[in-house]
Amino acid sequence: MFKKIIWPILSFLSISLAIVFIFGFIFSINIDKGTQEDFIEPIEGEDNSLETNNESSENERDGLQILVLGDSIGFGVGDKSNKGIGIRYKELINKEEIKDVAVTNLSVPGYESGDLLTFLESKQNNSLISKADIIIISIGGNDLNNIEYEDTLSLDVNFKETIKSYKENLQDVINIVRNLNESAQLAIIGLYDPYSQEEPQKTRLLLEWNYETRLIAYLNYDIAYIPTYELFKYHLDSYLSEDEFHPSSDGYQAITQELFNILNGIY
Amino acid sequence: MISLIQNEVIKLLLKKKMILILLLLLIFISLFSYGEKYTYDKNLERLENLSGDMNYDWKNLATQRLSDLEKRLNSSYIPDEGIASIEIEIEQLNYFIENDINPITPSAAKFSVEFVEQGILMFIPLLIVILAADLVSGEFSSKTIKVLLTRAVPRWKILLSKFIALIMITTILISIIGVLSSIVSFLFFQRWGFNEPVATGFSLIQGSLNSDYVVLVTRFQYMLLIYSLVWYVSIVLSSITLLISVLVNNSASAIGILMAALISGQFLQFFLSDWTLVKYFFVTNLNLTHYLTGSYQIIEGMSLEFSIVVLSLWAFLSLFVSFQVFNRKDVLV
Repeated sequence: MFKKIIWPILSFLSISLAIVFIFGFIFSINIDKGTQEDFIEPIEGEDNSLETNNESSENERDGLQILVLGDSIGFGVGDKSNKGIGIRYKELINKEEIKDVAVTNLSVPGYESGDLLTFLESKQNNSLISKADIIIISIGGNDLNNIEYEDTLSLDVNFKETIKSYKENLQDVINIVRNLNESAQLAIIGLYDPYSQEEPQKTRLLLEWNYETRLIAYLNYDIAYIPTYELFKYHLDSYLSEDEFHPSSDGYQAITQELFNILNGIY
Repeated sequence: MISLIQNEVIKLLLKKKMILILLLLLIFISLFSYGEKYTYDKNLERLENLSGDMNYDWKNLATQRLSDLEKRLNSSYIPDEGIASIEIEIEQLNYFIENDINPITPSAAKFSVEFVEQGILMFIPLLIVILAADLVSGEFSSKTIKVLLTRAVPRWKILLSKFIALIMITTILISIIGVLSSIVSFLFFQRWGFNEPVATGFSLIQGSLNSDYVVLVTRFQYMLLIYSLVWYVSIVLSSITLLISVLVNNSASAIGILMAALISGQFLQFFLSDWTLVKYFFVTNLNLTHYLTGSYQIIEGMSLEFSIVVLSLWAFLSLFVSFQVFNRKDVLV
């Protein structure tokens, strides 16, 4: 009895399941294949953007060129007047009677040091970099902030890995920029601590992070390190924007003033 | 012919090892899903402790990441290669936020995929070996081969019916793994998660991960894809097991040879990864599923097509040899 019922059920089940599996199998091969065949397309897209960038930069040949590279702080997230560090710096210079200052902001919010490196390696903006006189780099905040951890031990381990790759990436970024442009003044914006007293553990890591950035700035030719931790420490309320992470307009002004003081001295 | 297959299927089913396989499955699945539930709970607890009294707020983090990504997308300076992968991440995040699901919450569908992804190298081959190792050699050791061969059917038909029966049971076994792992882990996680979006279709080009043409599928479709690959691997393994079973006259040594091949294959991958010959060994190619997830590959120059071709060659070769040997074998028992 059992044998008679089980046989048709089994044969039906196995045949239909086999058909399902065969279809799934063919489909998964196609998914994998499709990705490799279509790979030629994006390279063409790159060429187009390269040309447009060349045109736009040729128009701005004269005067002082300021270029901002990096993450959301370079981009100006949180700045209500949407100026960001670049334009605020331009305003400070204009007060000193230097005309013809052009600001180009290539920052992308959310970028980590690895993203910035691939961004530079894509070579789309080489002409902009080679023509800049001042290059402001803000990077690393997202690297540090995106460290995943479960406890203090894993935080320490992951931090060591992250800072190692950060140092390599930053050095590579500097090398790329220097290869394109030997004479520009580079400035690296340090990290501030938006959390104040809440997480002493993270503050310690942040200071270690800034120290490493400083060392890299010291070891390379003509790089200014702009400290922001000290600037923000006693003014978190007014220097942070509503998201309690990015600087406010005042915060950006403070960073820019510090940058200006370091590069130009006090007039 | 059909009655021969029917006979073989019933023989396979009524042996005690079917119960053994099901028991093994049940034990492993419940153990692993309990473990996953346990670590998940622990992690949540730790995260809540870290952030003080506040509940661990994943939603805030996810929304922040989402707005980050959207800003990034709006920036005109972003390299073209990055756009597709950003769009996919945005779509995934949107789903999780809309449905109020923490992306790291374990679900039944996620677990059953992970289970076979981990099991495809050792556990599933082990089940196949338990199932098939004594298919022919068992007949020799219990001396029933005489009865079987005295029937008025050619030898190749007998072996073919055994092979077809084996494929049928393997097919059912793979789907049992899927159903069982989903149901048992659902009891632990209380969530099916079949509709979650999953990104698949990564490919490695010149050593770096290329995510331009990643496709978004639901977790149920993804599960079907993964299980199809696992099914294919199992069919290949059954053919190889059949060969060993024909060659060797007792089940114990058949199991021993196969387990030795599987385990030494794992070692070879790590210690001899520079040796190009290793990539033509079937054990090295078993891990088909990782081509869909885009994980790191140990040996250069291996792709999904390559592995499938190598596995097919192994299957055809072992079927060919086993039919030849079985046709000519002297039955001395």
